[in-house]
Amino acid sequence: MQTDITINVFEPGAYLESLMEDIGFKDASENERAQMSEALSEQVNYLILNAITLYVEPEQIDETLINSGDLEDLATFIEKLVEISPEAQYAIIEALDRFYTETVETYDSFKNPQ
Amino acid sequence: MVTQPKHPAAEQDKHAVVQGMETIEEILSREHTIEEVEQALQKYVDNLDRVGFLEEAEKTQIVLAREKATMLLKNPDQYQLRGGQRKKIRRGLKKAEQQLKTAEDEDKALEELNALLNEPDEQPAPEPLNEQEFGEVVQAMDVKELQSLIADLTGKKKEIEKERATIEAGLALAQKTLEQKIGVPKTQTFPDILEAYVKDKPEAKKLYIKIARLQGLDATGSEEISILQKQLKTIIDVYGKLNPAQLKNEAILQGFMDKIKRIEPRIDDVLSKQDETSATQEPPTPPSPPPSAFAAPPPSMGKPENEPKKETTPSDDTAEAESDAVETRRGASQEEEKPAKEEQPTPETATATPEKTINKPVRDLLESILAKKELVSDDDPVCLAINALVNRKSIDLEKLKNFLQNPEFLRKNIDEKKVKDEMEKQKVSDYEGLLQKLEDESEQNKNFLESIKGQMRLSQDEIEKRTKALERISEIKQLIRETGNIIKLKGRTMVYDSPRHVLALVNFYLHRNDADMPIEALGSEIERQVNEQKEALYSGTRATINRFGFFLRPTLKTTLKALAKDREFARLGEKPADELAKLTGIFENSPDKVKQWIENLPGGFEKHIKTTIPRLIAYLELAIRDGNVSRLFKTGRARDLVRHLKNIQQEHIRAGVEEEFKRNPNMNNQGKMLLYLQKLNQSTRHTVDINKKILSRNVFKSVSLKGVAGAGLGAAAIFSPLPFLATLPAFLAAPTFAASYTHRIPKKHRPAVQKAALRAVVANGLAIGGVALGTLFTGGIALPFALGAIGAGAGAMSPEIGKKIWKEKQKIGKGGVSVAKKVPGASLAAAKGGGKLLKWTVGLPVVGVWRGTMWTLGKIFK
Repeated sequence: MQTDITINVFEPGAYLESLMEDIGFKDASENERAQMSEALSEQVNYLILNAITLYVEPEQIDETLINSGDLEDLATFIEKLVEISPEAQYAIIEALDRFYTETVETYDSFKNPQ
Repeated sequence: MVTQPKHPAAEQDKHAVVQGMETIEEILSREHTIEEVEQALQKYVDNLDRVGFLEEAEKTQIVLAREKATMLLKNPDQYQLRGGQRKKIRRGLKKAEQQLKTAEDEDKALEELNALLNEPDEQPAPEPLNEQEFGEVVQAMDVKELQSLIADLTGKKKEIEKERATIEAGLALAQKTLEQKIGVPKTQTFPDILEAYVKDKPEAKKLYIKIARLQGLDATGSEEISILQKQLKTIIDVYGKLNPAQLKNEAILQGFMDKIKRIEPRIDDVLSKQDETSATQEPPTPPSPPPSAFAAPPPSMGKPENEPKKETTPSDDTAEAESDAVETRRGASQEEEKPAKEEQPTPETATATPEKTINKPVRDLLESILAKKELVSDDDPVCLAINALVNRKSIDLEKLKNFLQNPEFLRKNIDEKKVKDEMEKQKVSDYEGLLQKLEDESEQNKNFLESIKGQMRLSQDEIEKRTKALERISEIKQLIRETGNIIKLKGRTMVYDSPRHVLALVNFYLHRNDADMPIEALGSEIERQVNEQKEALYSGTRATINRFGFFLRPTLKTTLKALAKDREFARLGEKPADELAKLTGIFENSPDKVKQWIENLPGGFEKHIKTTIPRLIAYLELAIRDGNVSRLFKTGRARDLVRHLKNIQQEHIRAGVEEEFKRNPNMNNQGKMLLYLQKLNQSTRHTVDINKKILSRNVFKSVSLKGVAGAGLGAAAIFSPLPFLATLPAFLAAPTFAASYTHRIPKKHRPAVQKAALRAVVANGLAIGGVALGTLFTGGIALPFALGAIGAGAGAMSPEIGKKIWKEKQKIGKGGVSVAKKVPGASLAAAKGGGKLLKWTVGLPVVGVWRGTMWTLGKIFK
């Protein structure tokens, strides 16, 4: 069985930065950028956690919590869960990808109203 | 790659599989359309799935995706493909082919491995076996073989342990001999060594005197002195534990002095204050004379002075009591430093001043001795003496002296030789260690009792039994870890899907049945229980469901019908509920139809967008969770439905923003986006709230709890930081995650509660927006993903995430969503292929079928 897993790194910062750039917040004021960043990350957090809950079993969440449940390091915790269920990471990526596309589409529709 | 069938396959099913393959070959050999191939392949996959050839089915999914992608690329005009989409599909195709190649490689590797294993002479030695290979080996064994393997390994382990004990004893002996040869006197202690060390070092000597003075101070009434003394004691204790050979090292002694130097200014401060007060209050008594302090370092410095003193000091019979006696004298010797000079001639008057000279560590020690009634009796003169010292009562020293020297008493109670031997053997520091150990133990016991108090009332016997059981848990955990592979493999084909389940079972067994069962027997016991479960599974009604699950497998349609009976939806009326169920049909499952359904509901669109839609999303996600966990019904259409509903929500929000814009034309695009995101977050929170409500109402029926309750093991909670049921309602009642999960929870329980609360959040999908967690992901924390295996199949999502790739995607086109729009089903099928591929590549354990069946889900919605 081949179990090698390539570990790449998803940088939420880069994701949000790129998305903000694409929805016209590149040259926005500091205040506006901060507000948008907060709003986007709220949605992103929701998407990630929701995707995990769709695929990771409660028992596995339990197990992960017991073995490496450090609330100070949520990213590691999520990484462990994602290792348990690769489908979860697929769902996360799918959700983030869709959110990105839809947000940009929304921006386009605001920019060029029909 | 073919796996064992999950259920005994009927002959006709196998036949259908063979026929299916022939049909596909036939279609591919002639002129064909995508739909044709797709249909045939899907049928083939279904048949494979049915007979249990799951991995083969997954592989075929990729073939399907590959075939479809090839067809699309061949006829770009027919399918109206744009350049970006073609590029994307081509990339997916390449990935799919790579994956298939890997699978073939894997097959080859597996064959080679099997061939290797079949050659008995060349069987690899146990040590170099890696986990995977070992896994393969044990998988091939039957139960008896496994049992004997475990027995073998346990035997070997014992041998190694024996050998280790011998080595350790030898090592200790060698070290001891070395010490003797180096010439470290056995009785030399840290204070002695330190004293010798500082003798010719004026700086260090000064410091040493200060230490001695500080030790001699009375800490009562002065917190600062007491803190300093404690700090000093800690440092001294650390060094006191080193062996004499180590202490010979000057660097170590210098290190000690450096540590003391750090607190030197504070010591100076305290000493100068002390000097002032003594100067003003008690001029006749000079400040503790440095030479005497130097000559007699305080007893708390780890080890006592050389022992040869008046060994005649009587006490109780026990060895401990003898140590008490030593303590007493030690206290007394402190006391006598001054009084000995001034007041020895008139012993009666000695009673007036002794308390002045007792330092705190000595007093603490004496008090702790007094507290141990089993060591000293109240009428023991030694005890009286201690009491006098500690409580500053007057005592007739002459009487004590007479008493101690009373030959009658001595003859009766004291074996002088024994005393001498004991004094030699048992140093006061040993006693201190013993005392500490006793205290630690009692603290542990106390904590343990504290932790179980309130949970249940236990008799003394039960407590003992449990304590014993707890001790064995770590031992058993080790066993489980060692045989982890075996259990994992067993779990995969049997009822239990994870070692944790088995561990829970072991725990349960330990606590409820027989705590004395030998560890070796546990393996077979687990086996037996697993088999019992398995038999139960295959008998009765549930057997029918499981064995012929594909006939009775409830669909999303029936789920939704059940859902319609829920009071949340019943008021919509029967017809809309039926229509909703229809929406999951392959031809009906479209955004337009879903929207139409909502518009036709009584009460108006505006109302339902705020009530019915979020509620429906919450319920559907609950069903998806269950479906994903049980794998008994497909969740694809439910997911589509959720996506359509969310799209409708988004469209509504967009329209709302445009409305707002009409009222406020100054709003720029950024302002619109902000408003849009805020409204989107609001709607998300609303869905989350509904989730919470559902769960609080159906707390016992919630999907996440089913795992614990369904396991039939209340003992699973042993593994939980806190009982789940106790924390969940508290959590659900709370307004926000961060603010509430530790509300009114004692500080020491908070970490456990936090964990339990987070589990509640994650396990139930209560992803509380960014309210509390927002900062966690924004501070540049990298969120690592195992992305290597992702991205197979045409139209699958991009294999990498990061700024670059997001930019690339924008250049290519609109991403996966628009592909799905143009080519119905393509994205979905590819996504499925990708998902299954992952499972296949990474070896996700197959989840036990008994858990989370639709049968249970039906109950949830009743």
